[in-house]
Amino acid sequence: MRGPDPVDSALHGGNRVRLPGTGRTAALAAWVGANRWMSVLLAIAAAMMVFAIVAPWIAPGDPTEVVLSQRYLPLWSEGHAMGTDHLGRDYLSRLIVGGRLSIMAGLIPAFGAMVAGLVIGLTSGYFGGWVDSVLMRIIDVLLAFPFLLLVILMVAVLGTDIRNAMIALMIGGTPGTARTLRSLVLSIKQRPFVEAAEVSGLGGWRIIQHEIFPNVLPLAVALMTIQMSWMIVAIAGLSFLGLGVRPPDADWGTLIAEARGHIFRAPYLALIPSVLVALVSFVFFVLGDALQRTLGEERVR
Amino acid sequence: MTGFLLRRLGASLLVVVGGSILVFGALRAIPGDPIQLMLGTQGVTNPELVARYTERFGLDLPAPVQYLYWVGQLVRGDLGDSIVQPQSVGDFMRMRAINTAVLGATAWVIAVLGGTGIGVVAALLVHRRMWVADYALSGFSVVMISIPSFSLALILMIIFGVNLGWLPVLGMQSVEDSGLLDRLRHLVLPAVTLATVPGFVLGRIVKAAITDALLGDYARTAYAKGLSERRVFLVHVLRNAMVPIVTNTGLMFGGFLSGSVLVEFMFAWPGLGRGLVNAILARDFPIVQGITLLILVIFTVVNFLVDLSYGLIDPRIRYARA
Repeated sequence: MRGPDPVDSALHGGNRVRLPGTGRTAALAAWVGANRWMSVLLAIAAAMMVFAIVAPWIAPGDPTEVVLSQRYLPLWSEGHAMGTDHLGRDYLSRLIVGGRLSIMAGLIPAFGAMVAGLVIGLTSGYFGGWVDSVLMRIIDVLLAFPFLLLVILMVAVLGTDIRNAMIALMIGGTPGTARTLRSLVLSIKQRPFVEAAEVSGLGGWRIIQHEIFPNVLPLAVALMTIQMSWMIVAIAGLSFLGLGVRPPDADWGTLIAEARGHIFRAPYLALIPSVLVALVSFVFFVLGDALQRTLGEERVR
Repeated sequence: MTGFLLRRLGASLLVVVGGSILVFGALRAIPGDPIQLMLGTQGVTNPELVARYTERFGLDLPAPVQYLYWVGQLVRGDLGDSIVQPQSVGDFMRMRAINTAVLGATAWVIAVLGGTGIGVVAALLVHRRMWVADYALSGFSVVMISIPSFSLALILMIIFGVNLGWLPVLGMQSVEDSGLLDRLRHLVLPAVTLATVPGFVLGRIVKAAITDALLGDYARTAYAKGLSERRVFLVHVLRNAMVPIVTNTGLMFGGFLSGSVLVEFMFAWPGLGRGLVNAILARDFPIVQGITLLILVIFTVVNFLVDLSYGLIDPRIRYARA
């Protein structure tokens, strides 16, 4: 048994009913009332993004200040709510500033991968022909590499720093999105409203812009949200291996790597950032999963 | 069917060739000369030595010529010599491939058995309308999927290695005792870590597949015939839920190959993933080429087999167009 075709259900699912005569606020309130779970998740995700932006201003101290006389202070110490690490740096500040890097470095490449995936998927799916063949062969090759290996290889080529790690993640995330969106475009192309637009003499780009793009966007956003959850884990993994953020900057992956050498003495130094990465990734995964369910597609991780 | 096979084989070959060219080109675009890196200060003071080694590994030739030369060697079953290690790429990979295969196969068994088990239980919970337990299990699954593998590795090390002291946390075997039991004990934590994410992902997929299959006409018919719940589940539903399970096994392989990099790094497991990362960092081109080629071939073959197996499990699926 194969379940409902994802592309088909994306087209038919998610019908939005707008009552006439309701204002924007009322419509929003009605939507929140009907989608409580999703609203909570969206609010948490939004709060995380705000946190990533304002982090440097809410950190209580300097995350890089080394105080060798205050190494390994325990949790809840005076002036250091999360204690200090092996170099006496204030751990709460390191966690907050590191969180900014971890979250930003996960969200931005996922967004980039969505944009690139949309461009390739729309072009390839709508115009077809040799452009489609060439793009799809390239994507076949990229998809033949396991995600993390492709990313590590690209970081090596581009050079080790956070910007290049983000570029590599973006390139690694693009082929999957492009492939999925292309198949959605292929099926939308067959639908009457597109044929009508073609018969009425609209050009290719205008049809893509007005008829196809709006129908592809919801699935693209759902895929992006799920990719955000992978990429937050992936960037932490790269930093952990020493291929992402470089010292003196530190994201959560760096903190875990640093704490790894001290797990006997202070296991919580490794546990706290681990739990935080898992938590942020969890929120985006559940949100993306919920978005995809709304589109009627339940199968894709 | 034959046409489908040939087309599919051709496409796979194209992917492997394209992938190997991509890796080959990417390596040569990496800043940092492997010979200079290997020789260190010796290379700075002795440019003649650098020139000799560069010629020895053919790195002075144009890249396309190097590629053809590499393919020529490959056809004769020779992957070339490592620049950094004092051995051939084939020898370097053989031992590590076995280590990674042992780890991967164990993780695969754990993930398939565990994932299918979790999925069946989760589907039963839905079927019996036990919503609280269903929510708890789904929530737990998503948490386990979101945990980064290196964090999970640390947590397991702290609990089972440090606090309880039940299991060893590093390497493949102890120095003094390397019996089978000792090796198995070393295998537990890495394999469980590697199996966790794919296992719980599989659990979600199995649950969805079974819940779907339970809504099918044949399931209703089976119930109507008065068959027991167990029989309906095992004979009628599970078989129909097999297709997504098998499809996912292919994807799981990719997860294992990616995951093994971090897991091998964490547990000091002397496998291919760790060898690959180290080789990339040391710019050891021949080893990177060899390992990525092996990964490409395995991944492509697995996907190919997965495509073929659809028809065996569900004869309704026909290979119309590739």
